[in-house]
Amino acid sequence: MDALDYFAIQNLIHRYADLLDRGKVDEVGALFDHADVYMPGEVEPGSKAGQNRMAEIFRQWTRFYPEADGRPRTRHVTTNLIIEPDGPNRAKTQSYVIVFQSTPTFTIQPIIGGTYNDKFEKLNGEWRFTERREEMNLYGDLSNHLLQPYGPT
Amino acid sequence: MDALDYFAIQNLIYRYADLLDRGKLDEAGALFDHSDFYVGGVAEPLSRAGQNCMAQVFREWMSMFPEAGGVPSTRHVTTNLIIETDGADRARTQAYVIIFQSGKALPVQAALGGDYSDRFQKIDGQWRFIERRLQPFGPT
Repeated sequence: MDALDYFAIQNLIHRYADLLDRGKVDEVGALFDHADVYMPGEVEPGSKAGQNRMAEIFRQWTRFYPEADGRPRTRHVTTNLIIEPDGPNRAKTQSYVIVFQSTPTFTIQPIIGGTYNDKFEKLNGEWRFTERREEMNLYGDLSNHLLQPYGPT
Repeated sequence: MDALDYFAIQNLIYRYADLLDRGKLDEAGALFDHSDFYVGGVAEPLSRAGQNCMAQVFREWMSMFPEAGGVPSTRHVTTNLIIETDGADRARTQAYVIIFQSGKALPVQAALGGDYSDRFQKIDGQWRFIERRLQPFGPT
C-alpha cells in the first residue's frame, strides 16, 4: 500500500457518510455490494456480499424526510481513522462515528456514537468495502432518526 | 497529485479553522484572497477572488468575546474530508464542520453544523483556495 491507497480508503469511508446524509440510499447501499455488513449486535451479517440488501435495510431503519429532499437531517461525523494493511491489496480500518442531527424542532446534538470496523480490497485499481462491523455504544435521542426501537443491549 | 499534495490541502482546510477559532480574522480572510466564497444556495458569492473582503464578512457575522482574549470561543471541528483530483494542479474537496462553542454560562455544545465544498489550485508550488461553498446544517 502506498499513501494514495490510504487516501482512497479514507475517501471511501467518508463517501459513506456523505451519501447517507444526503439521502442517496441506493448509492450508499451499493458501496456494500461486495461486503458483509454486521449491524450492531449481529452475529450473522444482515447483508452478505452479493445480496445487495443494504439500501433496503437503510429504508427499514432510517427516517428520510420528504420535506428535506429525502435527507435524514443527520451528519455522520467520522473521526479517529486508523488504516492498516491486511495482506496484498487488502486493508482494515477502524473509525469513530458520532451522528449529529438537527431538525426544525430538534436542536443540533449528538444522537448516537460508536465504532466502524471495516475491511477493504483493491480490485482493478479500485478499493471497495468487503466487510463492515458496526459497534454502537453511546446513545442519545434517536426518536427523530430511527423508524424502529433501538437502544443499549 | 501525490500524497504530499493531499496533506497540504488537508492542512489548508484545518488552518482555516485554526485561524478563525484563534480570532485571527485577517489571516483567516486572506486564505480566500484568490477564492470565491459562497454561503447557502445564494448564487452570488459573499466575496469574489480579488475582493479580499472575507475578513470584513467574518467581523460582521461573528461574535468575539473580549473576556476570552478576542476569540469567538469556538472550535470548527472539521471532519469527513474527501479530497479528489480535479484536473492538473487542481483539487476539489468536501468536509463536514460542527461548530462547538462555550461561554461563561454555556457548557460546551454543538451550535451549528455545515458542509464545505471547496476547490483548490496549486500555483508556484503552493496550494490555495479558489472556491468555497458553505452549506449550513442547522434547524431549517
